[in-house]
Amino acid sequence: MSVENEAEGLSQLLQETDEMLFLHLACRSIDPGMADHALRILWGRHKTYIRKSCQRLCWQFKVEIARADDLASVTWMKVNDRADQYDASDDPSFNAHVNRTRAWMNKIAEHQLIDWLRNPNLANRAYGKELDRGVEDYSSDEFAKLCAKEFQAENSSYRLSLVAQAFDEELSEKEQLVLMATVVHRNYSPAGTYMERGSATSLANRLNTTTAALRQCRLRAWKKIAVFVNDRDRA
Amino acid sequence: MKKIQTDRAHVDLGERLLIILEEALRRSGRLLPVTARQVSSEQSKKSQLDANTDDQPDWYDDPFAVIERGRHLFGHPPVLVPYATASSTAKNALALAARNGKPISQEIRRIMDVDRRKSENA
Repeated sequence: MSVENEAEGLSQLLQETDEMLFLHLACRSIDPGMADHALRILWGRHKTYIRKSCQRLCWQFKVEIARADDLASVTWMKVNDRADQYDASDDPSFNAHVNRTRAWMNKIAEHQLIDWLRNPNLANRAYGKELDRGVEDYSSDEFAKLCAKEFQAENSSYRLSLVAQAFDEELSEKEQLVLMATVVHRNYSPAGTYMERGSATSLANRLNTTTAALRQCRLRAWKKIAVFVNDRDRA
Repeated sequence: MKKIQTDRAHVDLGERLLIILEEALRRSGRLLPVTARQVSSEQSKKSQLDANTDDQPDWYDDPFAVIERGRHLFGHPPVLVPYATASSTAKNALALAARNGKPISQEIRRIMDVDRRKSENA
């Protein structure tokens, strides 16, 4: 290929949607050169956003900010290795693909951080009996029994904003962390559980408390949200 | 392990409550957006999503170096320092990240000073 043709090819590649770039990346064995170009373009589009996302994740989960670049590195490694799993947007527009990619990368980064938090290399992680139990021995009916009278689960924008407001204004920093961890761990845990036992133990250690105290903290936090939303609704 | 008897209706409601909580936290930016719609909505709300690149390490300019580094870290996970034992430097860095790298405004600092004095005198 002449230099002019290659330059023209690259310039066309710059206009491609993320879906096409991931396609090139997934076909590395056929055309490694094109895969490298595609990776560089994806990198240019998303590197700053993903770095910021990783910084936010570390901040939200109280992990030292210095780990954000490690998290971003592993995220990019996984994106590169799993290019064939990219799930394209139904919307063919350029921006829709950008948003889809960022959502996917955020999910990968979040999952990776959860994995690290579960990792036995974590400082002060407890071992032994508690970890043998597999999963936390509480279930969602604890929340429901507590809140059934206080909180009617309608998923309206107004209610969502009230829940977010209650979270910000009513909960302590510790309660916020426990609820956020519960929500995120739930996405990556076996069906019907909120948090693997090891994750709960590890979170308890990070907060210098016990898993039993964590559970109380979680219920207390949810109760505060339920009461806040209920009061505002009545008003 | 003791099997807990659960009422299906309660379990379903509990699940819905957690889904609502997650949606609320993702929409408000307390958790990262993980759907294209959430990313789009966040970007329309916040104009300053770019990371502070002043502290960006040199190796972060090269995607191939970053991926290699990621491959190494994947096999050798880092030791995460618990929040409670993080140094004050790390806490300051976290606070800086929370402010998107911006300095504390005079007005906020004044309020902080007043609060600090109140708590010292309490």
